[in-house]
Amino acid sequence: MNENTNILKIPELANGKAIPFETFVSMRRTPCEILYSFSSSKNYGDEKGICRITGKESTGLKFDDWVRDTFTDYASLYPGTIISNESLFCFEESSELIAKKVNKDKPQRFRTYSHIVIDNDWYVLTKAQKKEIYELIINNEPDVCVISDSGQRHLLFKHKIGTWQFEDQHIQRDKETLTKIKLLGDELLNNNFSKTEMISGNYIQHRIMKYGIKKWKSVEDKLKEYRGSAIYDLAIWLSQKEGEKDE
Amino acid sequence: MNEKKELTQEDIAMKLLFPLWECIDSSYKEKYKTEVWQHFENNIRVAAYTSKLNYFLSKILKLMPIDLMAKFLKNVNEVMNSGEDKKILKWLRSETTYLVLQVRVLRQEINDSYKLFEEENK
Repeated sequence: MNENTNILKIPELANGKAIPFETFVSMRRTPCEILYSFSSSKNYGDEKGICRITGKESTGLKFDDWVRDTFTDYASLYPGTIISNESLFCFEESSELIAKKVNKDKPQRFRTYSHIVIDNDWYVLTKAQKKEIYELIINNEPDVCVISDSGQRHLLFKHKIGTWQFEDQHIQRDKETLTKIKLLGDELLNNNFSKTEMISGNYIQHRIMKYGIKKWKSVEDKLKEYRGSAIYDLAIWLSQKEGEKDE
Repeated sequence: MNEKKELTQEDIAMKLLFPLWECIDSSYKEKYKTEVWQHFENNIRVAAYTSKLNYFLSKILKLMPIDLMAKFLKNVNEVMNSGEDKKILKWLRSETTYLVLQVRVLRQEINDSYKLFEEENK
């Protein structure tokens, strides 16, 4: 057997030198750890082991005791026995901290909101705050950027640092393309087209006739280059009608 | 020697789709007044998922009540015999809205000119 099977080459981390996978896992900071650093280090349990979410040694609860039958994202997990306190924090279904951040009276679910962390500032945003989300990601290099549309699924634990995550999709950061598509989306939205039409490419004819066939064709020809890609879905989601106000 | 001119999207709209539209049974157009253009677009797209233009034609004739009139055959045949099946079918699938809208605009222009003619001759 090849002795180097579990050696990964990460040039950015080790100047081109191969480093063991375990070292790489322990070196990187996970999104759950980043967010947990904003909490008052809440303790959910003292069971020791390797966390199935972060892949690191820690303390928390036994994973098998915690996990529900409805959990299906086993492909995103590391081998291990526990779920750490850091990860449990990001799965909270009634968080006082989130409630405080979004000015609500009742404890809130983590998964309902989009989470963006920039230079030790943690932004918790609703899907109605599209303008704010766009400005945050376009003017900064977020440490964590998890954008939730449905608010129904746990997304944070799957986040890959350095990407924009839109629901389950990890998107390579490309501010220029995002802006280009978003502006075209804004233009069509301002002329009564819907996001469903832009996503599917199936437009309602009378809207095109009202807007002007040539004008529509020139916008649509640019949009269709990106249709089907994750960055396209995000940009169209971020598009807004002029005068449409964030919460 | 005559060089064969490549067909454009506008040619496809005028020479193939316009005749198809014009030959749709008028009672069908009347019955589905509000959505007949959408029906036409959807059926064109569906019929274009094939490898040859003559298959496309027979499919669209089955999908909609179309009885092709002789006056349009020259134009339709020009497209059918162009040898550009692959390119044209791709347009019919991916540029359907644009192509159908070209037909719709032309139809509107004809209607408007009829109206003008009638008003002027009252």
